[in-house]
Amino acid sequence: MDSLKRVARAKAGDKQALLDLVLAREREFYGLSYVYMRNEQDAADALQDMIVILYTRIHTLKKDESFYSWANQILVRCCLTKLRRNKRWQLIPEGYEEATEHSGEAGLDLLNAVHKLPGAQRDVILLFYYSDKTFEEISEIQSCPVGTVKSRLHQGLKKLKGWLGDGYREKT
Amino acid sequence: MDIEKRLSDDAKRIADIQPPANLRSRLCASLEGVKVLTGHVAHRWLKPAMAVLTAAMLTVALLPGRGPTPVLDLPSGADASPETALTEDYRGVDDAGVAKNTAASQGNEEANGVVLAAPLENPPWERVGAFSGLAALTGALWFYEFGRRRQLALALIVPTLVLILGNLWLLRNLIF
Repeated sequence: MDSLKRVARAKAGDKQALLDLVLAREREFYGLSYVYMRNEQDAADALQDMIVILYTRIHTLKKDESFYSWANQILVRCCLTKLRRNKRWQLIPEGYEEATEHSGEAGLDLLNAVHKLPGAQRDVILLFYYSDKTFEEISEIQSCPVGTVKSRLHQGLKKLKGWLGDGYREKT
Repeated sequence: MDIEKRLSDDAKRIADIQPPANLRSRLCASLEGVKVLTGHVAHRWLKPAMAVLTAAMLTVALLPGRGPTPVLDLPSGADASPETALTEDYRGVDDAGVAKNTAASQGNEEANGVVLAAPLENPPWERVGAFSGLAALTGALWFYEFGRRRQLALALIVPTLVLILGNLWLLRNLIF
């Protein structure tokens, strides 16, 4: 069935149509949730929160064709809420570079480093690199101009370079 | 290695992670637990009800009725009327000039039988009661609507303000 028809049915209260819409992009949603939550359990929990909010708020969706970007926006908010509740926000500690040099999981460290960035820069990097979103899609999700998205990406990358250094991956 | 390349590589690693096998059943379970169908269907009656109650509150508060008008303590004579009393008072000012005016300001109003700022004898308690009841009912609906959205400050402050300001308006002559 066409996704627009599914959105219309979901708006009318059809739970199965909404479930089908989400499951059609299950991996994309799960991947986005995972890069925010950094563990499988919390990632699945955030998806569960998202689908409940989608169901109760879908009548506020004005453009049916924007369903997926709206769902992404809600998923990001669910993840951030969950992170706040879990109190996992930490400031970057002194000597972060030295600590990461001896770490075995380079990928997870890189993702952790991205999470040390200020919220807006972190979101842009996660959405652009980890979720393959375009600048236009990110600007829609973050409700800001494309120029701002590019600027945040540039600033975020600059900070990451400063923290991790260019030889980071090779050393690990 | 360039940081952008590292991020792209790391994204590929993340993309290989499979969603848990029970994700579908978990999402189904979450949806089944939702009792409310959708906001606009389940609460279709809420906004009209609040509009009607608000209109009723405004009617009670603003329409003229046996309202909070001060009562004049008129002279006890048979032909006495407010016009008579006021005419006599003004004539006194004309005849006696400043001296008469000063005397009047020293409390001679009561001697003339006219109390210019009379206290409220019959406060409109019925209207206050009706207004308070309607405000409480509207406030409960308001709290239900905004409390559900977790906007608790808005849900509490607006009904309280309406209740206080409305009653102040109805009892303005008694209070001020």
